[in-house]
Amino acid sequence: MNPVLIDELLKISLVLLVILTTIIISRRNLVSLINVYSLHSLVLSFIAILFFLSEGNYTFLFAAALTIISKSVLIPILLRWTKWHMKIFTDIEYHYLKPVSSIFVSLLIIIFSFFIFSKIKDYLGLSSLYYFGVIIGFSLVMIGFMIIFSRRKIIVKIIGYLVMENGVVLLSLFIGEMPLLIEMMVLMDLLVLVAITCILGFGMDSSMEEFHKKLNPFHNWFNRRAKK
Amino acid sequence: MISFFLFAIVNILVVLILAPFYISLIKKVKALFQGRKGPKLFQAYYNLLKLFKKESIYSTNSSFIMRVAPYINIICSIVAILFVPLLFIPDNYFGFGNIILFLYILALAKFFMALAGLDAGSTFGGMGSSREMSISSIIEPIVIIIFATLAFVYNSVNFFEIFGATSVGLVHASLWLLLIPLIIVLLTETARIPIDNPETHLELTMVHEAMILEQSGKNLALMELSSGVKQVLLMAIIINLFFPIGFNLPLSLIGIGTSLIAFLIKSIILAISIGIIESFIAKSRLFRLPIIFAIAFLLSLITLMMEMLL
Repeated sequence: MNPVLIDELLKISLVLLVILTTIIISRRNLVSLINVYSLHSLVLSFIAILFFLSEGNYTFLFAAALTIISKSVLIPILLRWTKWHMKIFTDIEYHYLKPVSSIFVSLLIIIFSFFIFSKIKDYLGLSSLYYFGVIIGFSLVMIGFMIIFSRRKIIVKIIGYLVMENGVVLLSLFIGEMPLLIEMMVLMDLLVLVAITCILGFGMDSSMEEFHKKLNPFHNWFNRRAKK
Repeated sequence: MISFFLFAIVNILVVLILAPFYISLIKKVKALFQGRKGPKLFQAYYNLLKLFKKESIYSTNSSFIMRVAPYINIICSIVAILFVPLLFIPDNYFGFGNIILFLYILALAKFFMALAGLDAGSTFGGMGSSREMSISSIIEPIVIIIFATLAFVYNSVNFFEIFGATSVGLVHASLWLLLIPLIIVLLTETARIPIDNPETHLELTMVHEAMILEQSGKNLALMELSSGVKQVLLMAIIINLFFPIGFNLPLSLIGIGTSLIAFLIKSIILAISIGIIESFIAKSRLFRLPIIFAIAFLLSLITLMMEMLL
C-alpha cells in the first residue's frame, strides 16, 4: 500500500482518537461512554491494521483482531450487561474533577507528555508522525489514570482503566515493541475481566464507599461465626 | 480592479439573497424532525419584507444607540461579506480578507447589538446583553486559536490566500480536527442549540433573542438580516476550508455559475446538518456551556500542536 496514503490514514486515525478521548472525558452518560469506548478501541485496531499494511508483520494483524474481539465487542457487551443487571444510574459521578476541569487537566497532560518526550526525541529516533503517536499514547495512559481517580463509580473507573490500556497499546504500536504489547493486552484484559467479575460477585453497584458499607454486614457475620 | 468589483457585487448579492433562505431551511429541518410541517422555505423572506414595511417603535428611555445600532450592524455585516470569498478569488483584493480585521468587524457589530439591548432599559435586554458578552468572551480565545492555527498552516492571515491554498487541495489531515471547534463557533455565533435557542422567548433560555427584543419594524429586519449574513459567512468559511470542490473556478460566467451551484449544494447540506444537530441535542444549561467551549479549546490547541509537529 502507498506509504503516503498510510501516513495520511494514520494521521486521520490519531485525530479520531483525540476526538473520541475528548468525548470520553466530557460525557456524563454511562451508556454513551461505553459506546464511545467501543469506537475508541475500533480506531485503535484500525491503526494496528495500518501498521500491518505498512510493515507486513502478522503480529499487528493479530493484535488488531484481538483488540476488535476483546475491546470493541466483548468488554462493551460485558459492561452493558453489568449496567443492565445492576440498575446503575446513567449519570456518572465525580470525586474531584468535573468535565470542564478534566478537559483542562487533559490538555496539561498532553503538553506535559510533549515536553517529556521532546527530551528523549533524539534517543527514540522516530519520525514526527510516530513521535506524535507516542505522545498521544502516553497522554492516553495518563488521562486513563485521571479518569480512574476522579470518577466515583467503579464501572467508570473500569473505563478509565481500559482507556489507559488503549494508551499502552498505542504507545507500543508507535514505539514498536510488539511481543510486550500482546503480553500487556492479555494481562490487562484479564485484570478488567477480574474487576467486572468482582462487581458481579459482590454487587458493588456504585462506589467504593458504598461497597465498604455493604461488606460490613459480612464482617459482622464472620465475627459472629468466630464467637460461636 | 474589475475582477474585485465583480467579486464585491457577486459576493454581496449572493450572501444577502441567500441569508434568509438558510434561516427558513434550518427551521424547516427542525420542524420535520419534530413531526411538524414547518414554515415555507421562503418564509424568512416574507417575514423580512413584512418587517421592512412596518415602522420602528422606540422606547422613551432609549437614546441614539437604539437608532443607529441596526444600521451599524448591517453595515458591518456587508463589509464583512467582502472579507470571505464565496465563489471565486479576485486577482487583487486591496487589503480585504484579513482574518483579524474580519473578527473585529463582527465584534463591533455584536458590541452595538449588546449596547442596543442595554439602551432600551428593559430587564430582558440587559440580561441578554450580559449573557451574550459573557459567551463571546469565552468563545473569543477559541476563535483566535482556530485562526492562529490556520495562519500557521497556510502562512497567511488572509482569507483569500488561505482559500486559494485550500482550493488547490492543501487540506491537511490534522486540520479536520478543527472542524468540530469551527462548528461549535458557528453554533455559538449564530445563537443556536445547544448554546442558545433561537425560537424561544423564555426568560431562562433567551440570549440573542433577549437582546433584540426591543427592536421592531425595519430595525428588527436589519438585525435579523445581519444575523443571517453572519451565519452564511461562517458557513462559507467552513465550506471553503474543508470542502473546496467547485470553488475558485476560472473566472467566466460558466465558472461563476458552477461555483454558485456547488456552493448552494454544499451550504444546503451544511444547513441541513445544523438542523439535524439542533434536533438531536438539547439546549444546555448556561453553566454547562463551558464543557462545550473547553472541548473546542482542547481540539483547536491539539490541532495547533499537531501542525507544529507534523
